Amino acid sequence: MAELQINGVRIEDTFAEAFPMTYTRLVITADTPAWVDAATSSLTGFATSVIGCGCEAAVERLLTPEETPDSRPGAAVMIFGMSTGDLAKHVVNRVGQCVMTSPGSACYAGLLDGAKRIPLGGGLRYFGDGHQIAKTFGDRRFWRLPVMDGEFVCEDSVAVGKGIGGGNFLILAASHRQCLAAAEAAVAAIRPLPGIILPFPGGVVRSGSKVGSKYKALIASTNTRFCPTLRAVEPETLLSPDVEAVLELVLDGTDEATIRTGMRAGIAAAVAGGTGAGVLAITAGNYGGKLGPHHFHLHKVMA
Amino acid sequence: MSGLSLTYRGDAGIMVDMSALLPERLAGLTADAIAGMPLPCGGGSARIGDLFELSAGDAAEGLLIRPGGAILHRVGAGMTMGRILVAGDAGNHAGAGMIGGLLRIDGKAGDSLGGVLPGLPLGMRGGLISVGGDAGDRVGERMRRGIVVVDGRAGAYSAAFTVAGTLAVAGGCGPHPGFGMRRGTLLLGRPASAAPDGFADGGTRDWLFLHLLRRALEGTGSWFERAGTTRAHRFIGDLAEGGRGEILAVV
Repeated sequence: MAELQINGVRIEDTFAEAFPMTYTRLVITADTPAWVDAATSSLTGFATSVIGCGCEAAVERLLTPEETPDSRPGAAVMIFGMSTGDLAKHVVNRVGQCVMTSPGSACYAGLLDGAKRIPLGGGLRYFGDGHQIAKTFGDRRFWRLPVMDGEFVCEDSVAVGKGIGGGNFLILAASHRQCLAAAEAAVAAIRPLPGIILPFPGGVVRSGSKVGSKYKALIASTNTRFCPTLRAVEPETLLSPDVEAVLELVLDGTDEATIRTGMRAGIAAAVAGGTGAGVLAITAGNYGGKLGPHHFHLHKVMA
Repeated sequence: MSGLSLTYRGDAGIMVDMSALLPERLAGLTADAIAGMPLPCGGGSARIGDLFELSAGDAAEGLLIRPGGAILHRVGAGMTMGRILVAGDAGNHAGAGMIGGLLRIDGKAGDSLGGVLPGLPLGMRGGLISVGGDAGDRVGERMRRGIVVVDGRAGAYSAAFTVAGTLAVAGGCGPHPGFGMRRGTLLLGRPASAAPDGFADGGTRDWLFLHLLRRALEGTGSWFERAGTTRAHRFIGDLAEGGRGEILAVV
């Protein structure tokens, strides 16, 4: 295939490999945007990768009072897991420990339609110790749990959908500072898009992983082929001598089209400054097609 | 409204049992077929076509009833789906035992609105009833689920023996509100001077779930949809029944 360059930046002829995940969306509200942030920061904390966290979560977008069920500031949060049962366990734990505990918060279903549902308030109601109250308005059921600052209002259950995890691309740059600037631009371009989250810190991953390790206890280890400091000793290195830093963006989304849109927006933002901004190449992480059925070929994504 | 309209033909009052006139039963029937159906009235029965003037329309789109001088009992009793709009007053047992759908009464409602039909254990089990005027006694009696909103006053024993559900009355209630209440919510649109018998004072605060109630009432034009506050005085009871129900008086 012909070489593809955008603003002088080489787009590698490779693909990002992604896999099916189960996801749900929650709507978190609170009295002020600051307390929405407190609740959602806690809810999505330590939820970067299913490898070690069990689930992947992030704020999808902030919501205005007009968009929330209780007319208060809010945020939509997406949580991805490897199975419905796994997701159910993590959602109830996280909402119970991080949202119910946050002052003034409430938690609603952000995904209403779906054949499968997982418990939300229905799993937390017993915390009310018998004083919990169910309320059904229309076809939605809510729980009112007495807490010390009033009541924690929580939807009974939330639907789950089939999503995709692990969409990704890597930015290869001439310096760490320039790599980070390109990654930040990519994050800023992706975050406004609906149906996508970037679960890693600030939306960026520096410790990209490969499958397996020399240590039997580990299922993943550092992606040595993209580590600049190992270039001299890693026979399979994929970095040219002028690459000083690599950062990865990982995207979880509702479907292939959404991931593709996100990757395209992110890559376009990352290469907007061209080679003059120190970005040398864009590539993607895959495992030879063995990890998952969703393959996002960079040349097709950017076509 | 593109549904079926029924306009009472007479001027003098007559009592009619309307419980057979439900959207789910009439859906798919022609106006002629509906006109030939009998309805209990005045101690006997009469054909719907003799009692009402029917305008063609699909009952699945909803029923518009203009009662004129008739006293229409059991309007929407037991209905499970669809819409019924009463452009006037309704008699007793309107929406009693209702399971789903929307019943809107522009005028007044009689006793046992959303309540229980004689011989049955439970009252309303779902759906939404909206009344523009006053309602009689025992509104929402033995209610299990659903919402009843009354823009005027309600009579005695409102929300008596409720198991769950929400009754919102703008103008306050007569004696013994929430009598025997096990769970559920009776929301009053005016402050209460003292705790009703059998209820404990639970204090005043903003109730977040009332925002959800307001959203559920959007489009009904009811008093709580327009109310600008969710702050209410809570009374917990009926203590004789375990104290899991509540009367909220908007302040």
